[in-house]
Amino acid sequence: MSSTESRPTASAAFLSNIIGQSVVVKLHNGMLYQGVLESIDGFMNIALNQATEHYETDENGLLHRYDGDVFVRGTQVLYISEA
Amino acid sequence: MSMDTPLDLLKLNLDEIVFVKLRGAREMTGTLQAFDSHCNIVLSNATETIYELVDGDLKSTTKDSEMVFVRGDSVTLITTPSE
Amino acid sequence: MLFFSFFKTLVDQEVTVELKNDIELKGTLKSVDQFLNLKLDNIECSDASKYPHLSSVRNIFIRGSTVRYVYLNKNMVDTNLLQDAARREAMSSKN
Repeated sequence: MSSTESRPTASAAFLSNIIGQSVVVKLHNGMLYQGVLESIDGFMNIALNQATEHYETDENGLLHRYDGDVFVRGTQVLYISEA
Repeated sequence: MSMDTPLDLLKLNLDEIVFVKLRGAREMTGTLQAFDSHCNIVLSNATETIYELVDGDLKSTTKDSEMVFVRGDSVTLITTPSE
Repeated sequence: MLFFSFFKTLVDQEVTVELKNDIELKGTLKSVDQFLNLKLDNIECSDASKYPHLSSVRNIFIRGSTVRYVYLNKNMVDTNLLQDAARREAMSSKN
């Protein structure tokens, strides 16, 4: 194995492990999205399936339920975590 | 290995009607004509909705345009319209 | 590069630019660069009374990052060509 070949970092391992899992994504503007993680890239661009939208916490009322895939722009993402 | 990134999934929405959430309580619905990795987009037959609080009441105004370029840094989310 | 090329096809056409500070300017697109900075000629302000400081300006250079929207006419855009270009861009940016 060449020494320049990079091993997956902890974050990359985490991100590839949670594909297909139910996740929570929080944005800078306080919106919270919960859904099944379809895919994610290195910019934290995220595609969610069966997403629901809440403000700040999911104890606040359901604002929206998205039937189609939801694309979230990476620059707006504060965090992603397992639901 | 090639895998579908979130941006690859957006490709499936070309020539389809999309719902875009923007910064500053704005939303835009229209037919997706183009996008790039910054989420710059072009929509045709677009309707923009702006939400504002006027004396504590939520007001919305809409604006139609036949063709519009939206700069990516305003974009937070892209999906297909529900209902 | 997709939108740089796109805007280059719009040079010498009349466009309306909405900035993030809500100012709206209509004018002839004279030039564009890779940052999508825009040069407009013969501008008019949609609400000149609100922006008197712009009423004497005829020619303007807009920093791309301050742009919110650019409104275009339908007939300026070949949508089939644009969609194909977007598909190609999505392919090429993949690595």
